[in-house]
Amino acid sequence: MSSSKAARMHRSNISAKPQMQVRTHDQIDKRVPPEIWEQIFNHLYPSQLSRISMVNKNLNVIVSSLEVWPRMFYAAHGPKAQLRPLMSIPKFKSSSMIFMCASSLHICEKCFGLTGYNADKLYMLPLPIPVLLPRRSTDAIKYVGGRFDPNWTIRMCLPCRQGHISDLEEPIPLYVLNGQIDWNSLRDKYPCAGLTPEFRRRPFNNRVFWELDAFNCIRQYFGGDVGIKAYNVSTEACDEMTATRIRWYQLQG
Amino acid sequence: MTVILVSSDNQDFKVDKEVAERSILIKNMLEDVGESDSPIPLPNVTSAVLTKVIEYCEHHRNDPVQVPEETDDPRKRSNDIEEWDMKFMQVDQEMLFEIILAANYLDIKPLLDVGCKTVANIIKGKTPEEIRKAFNIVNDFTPEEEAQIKKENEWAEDR
Repeated sequence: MSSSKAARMHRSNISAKPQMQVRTHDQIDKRVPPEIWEQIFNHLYPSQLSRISMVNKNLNVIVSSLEVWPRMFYAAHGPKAQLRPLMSIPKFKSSSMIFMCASSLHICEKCFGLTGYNADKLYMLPLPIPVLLPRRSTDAIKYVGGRFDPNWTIRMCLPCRQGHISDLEEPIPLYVLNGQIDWNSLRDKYPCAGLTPEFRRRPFNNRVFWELDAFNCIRQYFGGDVGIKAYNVSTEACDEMTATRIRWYQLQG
Repeated sequence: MTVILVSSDNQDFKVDKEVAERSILIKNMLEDVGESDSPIPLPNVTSAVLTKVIEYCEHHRNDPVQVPEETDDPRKRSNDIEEWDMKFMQVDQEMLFEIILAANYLDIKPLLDVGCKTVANIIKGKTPEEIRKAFNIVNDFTPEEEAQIKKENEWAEDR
C-alpha cells in the first residue's frame, strides 16, 4: 500500500513540471486509451476477457462494450435470437456480454459454436470443456500435477479440440503404460473406447493392443485427454447450471 | 538522407529517412513538407522512449509493408512474436506502455501490434486479482457491485 502511495506522489511531482507531458490519470487502465485496450483484448478469449472485466469499473466498461460479445451471441444463437428481455440492464453498454457469460458453458470459445442441450449421445456432444493453452506455440503443453491450471484453459467444442491437439501434441499421461493390453482391460480402463470404430467390437483371436497406440487412437476421437476425461462428466449438471444462470440473468432486468 | 527527430525533452535524434518513415505519422509529415532539413518535433515522446522506438525501426527498416487479412483471427496470432521482438519488449511495464502509446501516436502498426500482443500475453492465465497486481490497478467496485460482477462472470471460474 505504502509503495503505491509513494509511486503516486512521485508521479504527481513529475507531472507538476510544466514541460512534461501532463498525466491526467495515474492508473495504467486510464492512461491507455480504450481503443488500444480493445486492440489488446482482441488477442484474448472470452473467459480471459471475463476475468479482465472483474478488475475494475473502467476495464469492465471497456470489456463489456467489445464487439466480440454480440458477434459471439449471433454466431451461437443466430440473427433471429431475441435480446429484448436482456436489454434492460442500464448499468452496461452491452448486455450481450452478461448473456454470453450466462450461457457460455455451452459455447465454444474458439469457433463460438453453440452445443446442444441434453444431447443423448455423449460421444457426439461437442461440449466445450477446458483446453490448456500453451504460453507460446513453441512451448509444450504442461500439466500441473496431472491437472490443468484452470486459468490457462478455454472451452472448446470437439472439432476445435481435435484441431488443437493435432497442432499441439499433448504429453502422454502417466497412467498410460507402455505395454500390451487386451480388449477387456482396455474397455475397463478407457470406457469411451467402446465408442470408437477401432475398439467397438471384440477383436478376432483376442488380439492384444499396445496401450500407447490404443490411447493415441482414442484421443483422436475425443479431442485429447480433456475429451477422454469429459466422457464421464454429466452434461445434465451443465445444462441445469446454464438454465439457472439465464433465469438469474433475466430476473436482473 | 537523414532526418532529425526532437523528443519532448528536447533531444535531437539523427536517423535515416528510411528508418523514420516506418512511422506513418513522420512519413506523411515529410511528404507534406517536401525537401526540408528542419527537425521534426515529437512532443509526445520522451528521449528514452524514442531511443527504443528508433531501435525497433532500425531493426525492421527493410520489412515489407504488412497487409493484415481481414478474416485473420488475432487470437491465433498472439503467440507468434519474433524472437528479436520478444527480447525487445522485455522492458519494465512503464516502458512497455510508453512504447505502445508512442507507437500509436507515431502510427507504427507492427510495433503497436507487438506491444498489444505482449500485454495480452501478460494478462493471459491471470486471475482478476493477479491482473490488478500486475498492472497496479485499484479495485474500485463497491462490495455490492463486486458481488454482482462475480455472479455475472461465474462461468469463467467453472473449470
